[in-house]
Amino acid sequence: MAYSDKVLDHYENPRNVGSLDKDDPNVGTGMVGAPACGDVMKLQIKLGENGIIEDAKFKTYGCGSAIASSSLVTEMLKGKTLDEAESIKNSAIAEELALPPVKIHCSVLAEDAIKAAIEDLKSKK
Amino acid sequence: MEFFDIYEIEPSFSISESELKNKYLVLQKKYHPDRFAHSNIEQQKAALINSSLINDAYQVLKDDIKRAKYLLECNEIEITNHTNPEFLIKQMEYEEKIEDHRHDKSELVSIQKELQEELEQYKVNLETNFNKKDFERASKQINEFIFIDKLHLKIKEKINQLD
Repeated sequence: MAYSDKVLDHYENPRNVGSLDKDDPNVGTGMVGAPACGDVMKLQIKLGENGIIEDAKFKTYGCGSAIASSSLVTEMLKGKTLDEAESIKNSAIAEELALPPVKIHCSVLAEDAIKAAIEDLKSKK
Repeated sequence: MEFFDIYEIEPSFSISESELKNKYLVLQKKYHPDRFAHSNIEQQKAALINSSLINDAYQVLKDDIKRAKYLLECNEIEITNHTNPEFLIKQMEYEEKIEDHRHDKSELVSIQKELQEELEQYKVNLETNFNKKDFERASKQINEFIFIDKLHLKIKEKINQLD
């Protein structure tokens, strides 16, 4: 199966790989996994004073599409409010990366990671 | 529980692999389509159906994950999609450790052993929970088992590449 140029770009030059301090009260961490493919994804967001996401980091062990989906999501999240972040749909990720039907679940995983990170952040407030 | 019935094995998570294999060979022989080459069309068809059913059942029963899934399905339970975050953090730490030691064969082998032991422990727990008919817990455990199994395969490949 051929990856799209956008997937390859994110796969070869992943944006925002790394970690934020998970104990920081302004950092939300989302850990999600897909047993079917064994992918594990960690997404972290940091909320600024103004209620805007000022930083996002990810670490993903999985296929190219899973890495690209989480990399793209970190770019999308920066500058958004939590409400805006929560409304990001997997279809937008899949469309942007031109994911084939068999890889749609990678974008679903990324959406789940956003929701989990927001939930974690809210539970700290 | 049709697959277990075919092999006349009591439905359960832990089964005897050698018993299953022996029964498979006997049944395969008995229903092999070649033996029905001179029978009428109906009998040939029946042999073909039996033969493929015997094969399908064998593929499911011999595999820990497929057998567990099948047991859950028969009890109308699906494998949960939700994986415990604490567990996923541990998985990620394993991935990081494997990456850090990707050139260090002895370290990889020791991680592989650790994973192998975890898999064995999960099998014991799965058996207990299936026996207790605690399918909820079995569903969670098989979800985690699949992750560890994937990781175990991955590390085995890496070790082979170093050989």
